[in-house]
Amino acid sequence: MFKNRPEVILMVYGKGGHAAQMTRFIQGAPEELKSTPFIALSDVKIKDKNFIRQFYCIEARDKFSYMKNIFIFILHFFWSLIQITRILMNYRVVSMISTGPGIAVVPALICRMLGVKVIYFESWSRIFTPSIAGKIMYRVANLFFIQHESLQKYYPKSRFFGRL
Amino acid sequence: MKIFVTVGHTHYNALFKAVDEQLSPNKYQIVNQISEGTYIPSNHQYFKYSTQVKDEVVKADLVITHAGAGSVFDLLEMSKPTLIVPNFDRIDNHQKDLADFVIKNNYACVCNDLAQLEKYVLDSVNNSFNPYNKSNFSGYDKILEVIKQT
Repeated sequence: MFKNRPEVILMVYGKGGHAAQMTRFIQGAPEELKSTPFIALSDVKIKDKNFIRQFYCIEARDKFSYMKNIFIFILHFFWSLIQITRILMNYRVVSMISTGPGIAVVPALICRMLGVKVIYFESWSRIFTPSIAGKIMYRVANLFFIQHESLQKYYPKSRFFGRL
Repeated sequence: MKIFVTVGHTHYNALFKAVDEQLSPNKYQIVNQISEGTYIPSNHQYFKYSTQVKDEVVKADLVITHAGAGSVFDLLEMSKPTLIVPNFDRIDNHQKDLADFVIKNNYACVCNDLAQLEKYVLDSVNNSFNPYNKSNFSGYDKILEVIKQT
């Protein structure tokens, strides 16, 4: 059943600024990268012709309440595990690219276990302090971009190539 | 003065309440994009979401925004007069980083006290700020190189 799976690049992002960064990433991407179709694992759709399918997943935590977070995290954990399994059964993922946040962690771990390259962008709203998702993804990703040079001291092996 | 108030995809009742109570419809023509917020402005126009956000931004003399990076960077890149109000309703202080960045570089006015909103509105249009110049992301070749590595 795993034969003849179409090649895709998996884009993982949360709503709001993370989706905005992904939109900008795709707008600036060269044809060579876009020659492989994209699929999304996200809580919001991006309208772009390069996407052939979206898999829905809720975010890892709620931004307004600590109380809800334990429940949301457990739900997110199993949901993302199911979705990444479905994705990997149906597609040959050549790379996972994420603009965060926590929605990226579970899929990235699974991808790395299977030898899929993971590329992560620390959020552009992080200038003086690293994010929780960033600190985890710094250890998981093959390539880790920061968007403000001031973060280099927290992420010594990160790369700075300008801002999305 | 035409003002557009936007909070992207989040909610920020305290901001809309302050706008509604402190900025008189006699002096300001205001459109609020309240998103998921539950505070309904009574003195000014509002909508939840719209594809017209860009048009409202263009029409406005001043945009009041939460410190969400998507909104803030878009506005700075457009060189739009902007007043940034970090969302203190949120449990993370994620918006503080961006607000500090804007203050440090004097890119726009940042309001840290909603009780004095009108003063900040006037500062935003009367003071001068530094232009925001960014270096565009240029790491695509690095990404292709990593993807091709086996």
